[in-house]
Amino acid sequence: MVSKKKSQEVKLEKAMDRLDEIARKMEGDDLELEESLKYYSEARSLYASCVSRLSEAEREIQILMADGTLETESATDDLPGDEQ
Amino acid sequence: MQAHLSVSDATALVKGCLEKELQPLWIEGEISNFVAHASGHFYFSIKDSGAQMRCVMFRGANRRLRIMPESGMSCALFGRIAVYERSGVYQLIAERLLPTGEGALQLAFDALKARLEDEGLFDPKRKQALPTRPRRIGLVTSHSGAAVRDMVKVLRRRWPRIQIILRPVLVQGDGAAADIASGISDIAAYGDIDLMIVGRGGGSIEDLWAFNEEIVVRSIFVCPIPIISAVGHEIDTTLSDFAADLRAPTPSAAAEIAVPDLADQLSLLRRNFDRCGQSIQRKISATKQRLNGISQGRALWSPLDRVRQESQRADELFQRCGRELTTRLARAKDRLRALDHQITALSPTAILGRGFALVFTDSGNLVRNAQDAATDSEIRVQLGAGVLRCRVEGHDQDLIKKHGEDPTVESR
Repeated sequence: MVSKKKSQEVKLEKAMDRLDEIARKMEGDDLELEESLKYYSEARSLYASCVSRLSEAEREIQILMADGTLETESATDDLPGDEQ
Repeated sequence: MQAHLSVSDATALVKGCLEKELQPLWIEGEISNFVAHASGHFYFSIKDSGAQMRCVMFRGANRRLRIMPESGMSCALFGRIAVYERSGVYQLIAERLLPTGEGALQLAFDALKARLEDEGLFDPKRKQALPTRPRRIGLVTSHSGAAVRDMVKVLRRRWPRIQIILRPVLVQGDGAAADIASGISDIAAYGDIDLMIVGRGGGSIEDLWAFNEEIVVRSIFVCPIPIISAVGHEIDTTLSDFAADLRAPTPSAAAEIAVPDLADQLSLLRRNFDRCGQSIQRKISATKQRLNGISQGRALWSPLDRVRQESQRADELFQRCGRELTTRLARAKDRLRALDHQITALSPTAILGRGFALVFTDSGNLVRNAQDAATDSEIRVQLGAGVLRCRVEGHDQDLIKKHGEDPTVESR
């Protein structure tokens, strides 16, 4: 679970960087049309998957106690002491 | 005449009086002639306007010091008076040293800061870069303060996917420094933490003091995970801030720095994707124009013709193949039908239907030859419909000849 999430994060980082790289490539390099089309379709799927990953939202907080135990606290928007 | 005492004996006498009579005591004054000897022991004097006293603080005791003493520092010393026979002096063997008076904490702060700086704990080259899009963040702070609420609120608002691991710690009072230090290493050991915020909300300099303690500063320095320090308000600076990879003016500001803004990231994505889209559109229209230019030139005519001819030929071939196939199929169907007829014609029932008969002996054997059925024996004659039971009257050679060699068709 943990390592899976981590690897997804790496993927998000890489996907966002890759999209940036493709945009640069498509603008800068003198590419053949066919190559450009390939890049474009990659860009489209990168864009879609990044947007869906970015839309994820965590709802809980893990509390790591001094004795090593772990508690889960659901912390949405109703934290006490909100002045706004 | 009284016997003469040796110098050693006299000194021993003085030593005995002083050391036995005087309990350990606190003495307040100003440090002067401070020397940290290579052996690790500290030698200095403590003085006021009327007197001064030699002091020594051995390595074992001074190792516990939070600050490095120096000449001019006002302090309170705790220790016992002892006589050093070799020099014939008495001195204070200091066990504890506390800075006193106005600015004592500041002195302690400056002294520790100088020491840790010398050691390289604040070296900018040792700072780690913060992750641009962290997935998991560790918070080392009080569970009950406003600071944690502010941080969680900002983190969630800016970067909803952030996973928050809170390690609640005491942030002031006895044991706070040790708790903060172990909190930092606990979060580091938790696994897959991309970034940490260590801090607390505002308070007096004494309230914030735990973040100036050496144990906290060291644990921040050795932590393999990037740390943002966020102690108190903008104006408060602690040694933790110097050791951290980044200093944030407040806990909320630390949260702002820690994570990117979702809206920004989405528009960055959109922008990059649009760049790709615009670029492909430019490419397509440029290619179209080039194609138009080429197709208007003569050069393309003859190859185009050849292509058309080839495709026409392909069509013809295809049609021919189709016709051929249809014919073959029809032929195969005819042949199948004929075979079917033949098979039907060959079946015994069909033959009997045409007026032939099968003859069996009494014992059920098929009669192929007139000789097989003896005169007077019973035979059964199976017709197209029904069976006759007959008796053989005799054998007629002529009749057999007249009906041909072999009337039993099914034996073929």
